[in-house]
Amino acid sequence: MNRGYLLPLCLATITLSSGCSMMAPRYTASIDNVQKIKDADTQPVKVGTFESTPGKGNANPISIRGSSLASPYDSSYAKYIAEALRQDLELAGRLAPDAKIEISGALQKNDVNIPAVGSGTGDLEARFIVKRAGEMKYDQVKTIHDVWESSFVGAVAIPRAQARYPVIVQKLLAELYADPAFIEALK
Amino acid sequence: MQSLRLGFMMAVVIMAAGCAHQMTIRADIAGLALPAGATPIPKNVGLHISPDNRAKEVTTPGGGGDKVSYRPYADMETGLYKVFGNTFQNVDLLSTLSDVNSIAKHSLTLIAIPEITTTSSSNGVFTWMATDFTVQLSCKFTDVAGREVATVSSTGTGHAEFSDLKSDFSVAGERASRDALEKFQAAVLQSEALRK
Repeated sequence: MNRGYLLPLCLATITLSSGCSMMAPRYTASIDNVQKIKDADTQPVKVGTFESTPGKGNANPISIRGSSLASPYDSSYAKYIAEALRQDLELAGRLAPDAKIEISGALQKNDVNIPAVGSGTGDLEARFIVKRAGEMKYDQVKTIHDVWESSFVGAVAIPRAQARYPVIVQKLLAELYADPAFIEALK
Repeated sequence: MQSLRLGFMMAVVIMAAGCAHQMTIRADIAGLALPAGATPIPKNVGLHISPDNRAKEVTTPGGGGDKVSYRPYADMETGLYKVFGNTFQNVDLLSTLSDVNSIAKHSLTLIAIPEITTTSSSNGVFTWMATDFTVQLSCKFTDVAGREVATVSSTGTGHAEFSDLKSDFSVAGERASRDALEKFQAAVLQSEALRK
């Protein structure tokens, strides 16, 4: 191939694989999580407000190899957590806008890293609060550190990290649903 | 120096070319509801996806000679659960077909076993993302003894332009799975065999 064509082709490939503004995939519930809520026989619940606590490690947007990853829910990752809870509860048949029990909270850590060498990692930390008719029933922080196989090549590593975000949220919520005190607070 | 730079860029392109790029075909299930006037089937259904199918990753063509890989069953599981929640009295996950305790606990009378096949292609030369997707969904319904009651199928298609794919690499696949789920929901509601 002529060198004159090769250079722009290489540049185009590198440019297309980095420096983009991307959107995290919309949340998709884990059916295992949904079934866990369903089997727990809890009361109807509504989802209140989730705030974002400013701080190091609570990225918005998330930066992955020079590309930015924004939340599809009003560019807010705190709203992403609220939406995830809402979807899980709705699929489990437990979501009711007029319920006496309300789940709210705050996103405290939110980051994804894909170094040039080594695994991709995702870190989420959120505070979950359950109130029944205004009375505090549960207040705990849940954390997840997720690890997956990554790649030196940005065109492989970036889409893999993008596709991973909802899975990290599912894992965070799995931690919450596995907490007997949380399930008890919803009964 | 220029040769070194060119060599480095070629190495990056070679490493990226022919790779399978991760994407998903998870449908956005917001608004996927029972149509007005439709009546759910008064039966409890168990959705069964085998662990092998759940973990199955497929690789199909993307653009520029590259490939895309995704997990069709894991990606469509939530959409299927939502459709069954809309169209039946109740839906529960059935981890194994021989799980008699779950069958009894949830009063299941039907078991749904989906089969998903996909194709993809791209009109892009310089980008790896698939611009066109097809999702074929076929679901066998049996009674709890394993006797076939009905098979319901649908085919969904999804297309995306480069402008859509810039921010969401998976959008063509997501549109195809949403289309397949909407058509599948309509077909389930129309099935007389499932209402008997």
